[in-house]
This record gives sequence, C-alpha cells and structure tokens, in this order.
Amino acid sequence: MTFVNMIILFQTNQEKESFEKLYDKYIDIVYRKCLSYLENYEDAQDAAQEVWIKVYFALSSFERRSVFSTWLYRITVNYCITALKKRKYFFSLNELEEAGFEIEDLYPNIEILISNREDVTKVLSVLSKDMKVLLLMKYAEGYTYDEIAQITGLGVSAVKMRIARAKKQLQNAFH
Amino acid sequence: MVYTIKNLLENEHNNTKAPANLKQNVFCSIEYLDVVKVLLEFFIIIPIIVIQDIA
Repeated sequence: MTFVNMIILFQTNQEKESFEKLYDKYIDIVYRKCLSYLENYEDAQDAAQEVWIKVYFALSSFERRSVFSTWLYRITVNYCITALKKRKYFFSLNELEEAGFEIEDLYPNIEILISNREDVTKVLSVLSKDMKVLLLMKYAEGYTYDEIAQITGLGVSAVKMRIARAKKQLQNAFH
Repeated sequence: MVYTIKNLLENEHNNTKAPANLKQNVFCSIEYLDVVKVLLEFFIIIPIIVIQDIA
C-alpha cells in the first residue's frame, strides 16, 4: 500500500494502523529534526511526541496539496521554532542590528572539508545555538530571509547579518 | 569529503534513532486525547445542539 493510500485510509475511517505505518516511516526523521533545532534529547523527544499528536488530529484535514513529508516537516520546524521562541531563544539577536555595517551574503557557496562523520558535530559546535538555528532554517528548510524574519520575529537585516556571520565563522574555523 | 552547509546540517544526527518508548508515549497520548474528545462532544457539543433545537 502506498503512503497516499494510507493517508486516505486514515482520513476515511481513522484507521490507526495506517497512522502507525506513517509514524514508523517518518519518526526518525522527525526526531532528528527536533534534535537539530533543540539540541537536547529530552526536549527533542517531547517535541517529536507533540508533533505526532498534532499530525494525528490534523491529518483528517490534510488536503494533499503538498507531499505528506513536506507538510510533516513544516509542522515539525514550526513546533521547534515556537518552542525556541517561548524560551526567548532569539532575544539576544535584537542587539545584532546595532553594528550597521553593510549587510550582504558574503559566502554564498561555502563548502567545508570534513574527513569523517564525527567532524560534522565538531564543525557545527563552533556556531552559537541561535546561529545554527538560523542556518538550519535557511539551508536545510529553504526559508527565505523574509520568512525567517517573520517566523523568528527578528528584523530581516538582523537575520542576514547573523547568517553571514555564521558562515564566516564556519569558514574561519575550517579553511 | 566536501560538505555544503545544507548537507552538513542535514547530516548532523544522521545515525540517531528515535527512542523506543516514544512510540508508546505518542499512542497512549492519542488514545487519551481521543477519549477526552469523545467526552467533550458528549457533554458539551451535543447538549448545545439539543438546547438550540429546543429553542
């Protein structure tokens, strides 16, 4: 049975078995995404649980205008960003608009040389958490600067500056 | 291996699996919330409809 059929089956008769199959297929990806944003196993577990509860109750109204996975990832990212905002995670970013130097995307095609998988975590650890979240939104989720600004409640220039700085930090540390 | 920022971020937790107890927690919560939903419908929504019908 295809995943589309599973969704239809769930929508027509609330078949829990279909939902369970969707869960089994996507749970690891959702959990990893939560972990990337929240950087804490307990928080990631709580977030993943809440996301799947939301999905269960919202799936009946899912209109299949987008692919299920895209819809699921958006719910996950939105949930994580809301959780970070509740912790006033982005508060410190407001002060970043201070500098007033020219904002431009200085390192659009940065590539980082990594010899083994363990280094991925090491590379990302040079970034502060808020910078990493902004990079995730920009490069992993594909949000525009305007969308990131809207979601996080920051100014567009602050978002651009922060992302440019994050990329510069990565380049300085590993080139 | 050369990573772009995108695949660097996507590969960070590449081998991490969701904990096994998460599934049980999710499905228990759903069962519980399903019951709450039915009770809410029974005790709140249905009486409202009945009252509206009488009125």
